[in-house]
Amino acid sequence: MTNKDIVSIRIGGPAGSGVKSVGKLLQKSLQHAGFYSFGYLGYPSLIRGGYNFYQINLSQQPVDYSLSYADIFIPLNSLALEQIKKTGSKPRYIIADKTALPDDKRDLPDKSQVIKLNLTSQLKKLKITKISLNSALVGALFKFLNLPLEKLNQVIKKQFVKKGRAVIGQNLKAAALGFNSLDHKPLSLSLPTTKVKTLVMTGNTAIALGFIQGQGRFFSAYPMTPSTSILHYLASVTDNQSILVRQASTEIEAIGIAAGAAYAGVRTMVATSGGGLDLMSEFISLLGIAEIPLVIVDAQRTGPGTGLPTWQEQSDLNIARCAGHGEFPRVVMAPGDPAEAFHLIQEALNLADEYQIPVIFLTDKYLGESLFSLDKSTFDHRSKIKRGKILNLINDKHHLFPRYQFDQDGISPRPLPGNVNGIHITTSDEHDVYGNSIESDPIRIKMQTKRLSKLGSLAKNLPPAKAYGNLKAKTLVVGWGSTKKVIQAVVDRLNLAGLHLSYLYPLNHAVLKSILNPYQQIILVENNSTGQLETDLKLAGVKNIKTLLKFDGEPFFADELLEKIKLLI
Amino acid sequence: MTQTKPKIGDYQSKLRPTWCPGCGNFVINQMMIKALVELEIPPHRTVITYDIGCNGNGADKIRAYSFKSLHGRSLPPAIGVKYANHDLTVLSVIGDGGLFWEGAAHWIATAQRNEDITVLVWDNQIYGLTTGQTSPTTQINYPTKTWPKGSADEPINPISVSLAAGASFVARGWVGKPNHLKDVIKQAIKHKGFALVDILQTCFTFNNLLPKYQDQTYIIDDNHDKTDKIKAYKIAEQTDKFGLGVFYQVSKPTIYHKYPILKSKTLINQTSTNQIDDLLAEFE
Ligand SMILES: Cc1ncc(C[n+]2csc(CCOP(=O)(O)OP(=O)(O)O)c2C)c(N)n1
Ligand code: SF4
Ligand SMILES: [Mg+2]
Repeated sequence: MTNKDIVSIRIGGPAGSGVKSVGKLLQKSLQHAGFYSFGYLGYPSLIRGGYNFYQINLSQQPVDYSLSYADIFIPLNSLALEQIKKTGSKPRYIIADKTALPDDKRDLPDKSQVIKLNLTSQLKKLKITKISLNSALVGALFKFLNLPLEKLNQVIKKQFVKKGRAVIGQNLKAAALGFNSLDHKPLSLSLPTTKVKTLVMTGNTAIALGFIQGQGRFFSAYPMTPSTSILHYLASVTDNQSILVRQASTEIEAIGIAAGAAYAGVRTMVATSGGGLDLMSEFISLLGIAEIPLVIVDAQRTGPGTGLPTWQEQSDLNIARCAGHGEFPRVVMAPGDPAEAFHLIQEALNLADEYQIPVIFLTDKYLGESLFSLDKSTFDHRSKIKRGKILNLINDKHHLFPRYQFDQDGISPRPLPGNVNGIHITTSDEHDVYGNSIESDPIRIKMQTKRLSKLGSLAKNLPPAKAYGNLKAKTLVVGWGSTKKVIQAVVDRLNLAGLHLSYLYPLNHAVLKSILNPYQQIILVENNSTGQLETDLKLAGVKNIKTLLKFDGEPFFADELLEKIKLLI
Repeated sequence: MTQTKPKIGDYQSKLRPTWCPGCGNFVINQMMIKALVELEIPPHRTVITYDIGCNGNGADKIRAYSFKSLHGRSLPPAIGVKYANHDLTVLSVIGDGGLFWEGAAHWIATAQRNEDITVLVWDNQIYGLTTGQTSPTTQINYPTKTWPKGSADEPINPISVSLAAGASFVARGWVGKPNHLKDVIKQAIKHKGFALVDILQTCFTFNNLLPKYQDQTYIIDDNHDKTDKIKAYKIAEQTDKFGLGVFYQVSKPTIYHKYPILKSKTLINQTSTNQIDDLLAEFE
């Protein structure tokens, strides 16, 4: 947004050139200096070469959305400059080492003020390793923004603690070199005075932390961007937590093992992206008929097929609602930011257990991999653990326990294997109350009706969405998933009403209609090409929907969405 | 609490099997029960996962914690049960079609990683339940519904492939020698790590192997060095006769070695609460 309070800085360069290191160091140092920040990363599916960027928006106020432009651009090579020229964006400032600038001035974007630094050669003179250029660049930027070098130094000391004193020393020297290489500070920022304790974290990490907090015990996955960092993070904490992580040989195996672990009684989750969800769908169907609880995280990316493997999209809502043959109950939910992800994944674990169903948890590249500033207090939100009808004590002896008995609420008590009086059959076949396979039989109708009755209770019991903002406005802007924050920012700015849907299936159409219909106009924002939620809104009887779609692999940028919504209202 | 020793009746289902008269599955069903009883494992401590196929129709024919999975997918849930509660005895029943084709990726990965489960392949060398198509182990030239003039594909060798995949226990049984089969199943259950028993089964209706194996099977000599993989391959690659018994058995790291968390307690019995407070420091 053309918001004077936000400074946006974009670092660009080839993969493997340090874009992420510079970005991370910068974002951490800004956080340490007391700023809120938001980091959005773009990278191709390559390990070396290509073009990567890391954009940081910083502000004294919470900022959790991306912008289409950068005020300051830091290219790490001349290819990066070509890229920024291609996009037509015109940063006010370009701060770069000499080596990253073209020889010919005409190759620079016009209207940008170029600040050329001589860092590489000076580092060489001082015998400082080339890789410390990262710290030198951040040092220069700190001066440029008139921020105290001390804040950066503290972060360097912390960040490189594992690498030893020599490395810390080199980076401190480099930071000082960068800092002193500039004498003007055109974008003088004042340091924030409010002292909120913030954390910088991705949505994926928040999901993993929510799983840990929700007393998850077993996690399996097959690596697939952009879900993989959940696997990495959980694998990294197993020494100190009661969690077992299994990298599986396929997504089918990942969910199959998870189904077994969940059946045996431990809280279980799997994570994948759309292509992996396709593979998992047969087991999702099994979970449905066998009534096994499981949380399935789908971190969406641009589809179909392999699509744009490292880019953004919200196009798996349809498959989340219907993956798996046959008809069975499930929940589909989607958090909008890391705070909500942390909270909602705990709810997902509870819902899976209480209803004995698969819960599909939709996130995406943008939410999963962007770095958000969060207040530390976010993590005080700890849900009560609800394991549902797990039966530990059964007094009567049974030849077979009626695992699938018909209870009033449609949810049958569940003894776990090992229980002496709970022996039963768990099966992907249609079955009687004990789990014995049946053929076409009146029990089939009763069983199917029993399972589907959970959908009715879910639609009634899931927390309804609440409109926010100017509730008297004519226009309500509706979104789901990771568009939450960008929509909120625009709704605030334009004094409209907004609605974020966290629970996407089953939807209570009557409630939805009563929330939406008072507004003259509904603007539905979806990061896909067909408007997958629109079908639901229409089914619910919602009228006057205008849909704003984006499917170029990038998220909605706040300034872009603002302009688009302005044209509609 | 001391458990009374389990009896055959404890494992007996009240349902009548639905297999064809003369089907080898009756024998496997009974020998599995006997093996478990003789090992004194009570039914409530036993989890058996099943595939889809005639083999899977046995899921409600043994009284234990049965889990009837999807076609080709008997192994993954068995692995998951073992991770969650490794005090349980976990068997995984599957057919030749289910394991060697539809679920072959699971076969290889489970053997390679030495997951601690006992896989019993009810290998009738045919697709039984779907009424007689060629399976991965169907003999060449044997006429089936999909190769009416005789199967054209050379069959896979389950023993050799299991050995190559890294299985730590590989054996073969034959329904024509029930007591021997039972002993092999017992050894497989006792083995710590991945154990596979390829059970030659006669599909009376679509592939009656009785005459063939009556003549061509023999019990592998007691002196066979089970730790010698090359010898195991040699027996496995015999084409004129078929050895029965344990081809190969070695001790290899399995889940208890790989996951420190499982050393003292099962996953389900972990009492410590996961704590995120210390983890947050990294993000400050
Ligand atoms: C995904 C899927 N594909 C196909 C089938 C149909 N099907 C059921 S059993 C079977 C093959 C059975 O052969 P095998 O695994 O050897 O078991 P058997 O019946 O011989 O014991 C097939 C193809 C199915 N149930 N699921
Ligand atoms: S078809 Fe073959 S395997 Fe299946 S029950 Fe009949 S005889 Fe047994
Ligand atoms: Mg078969």
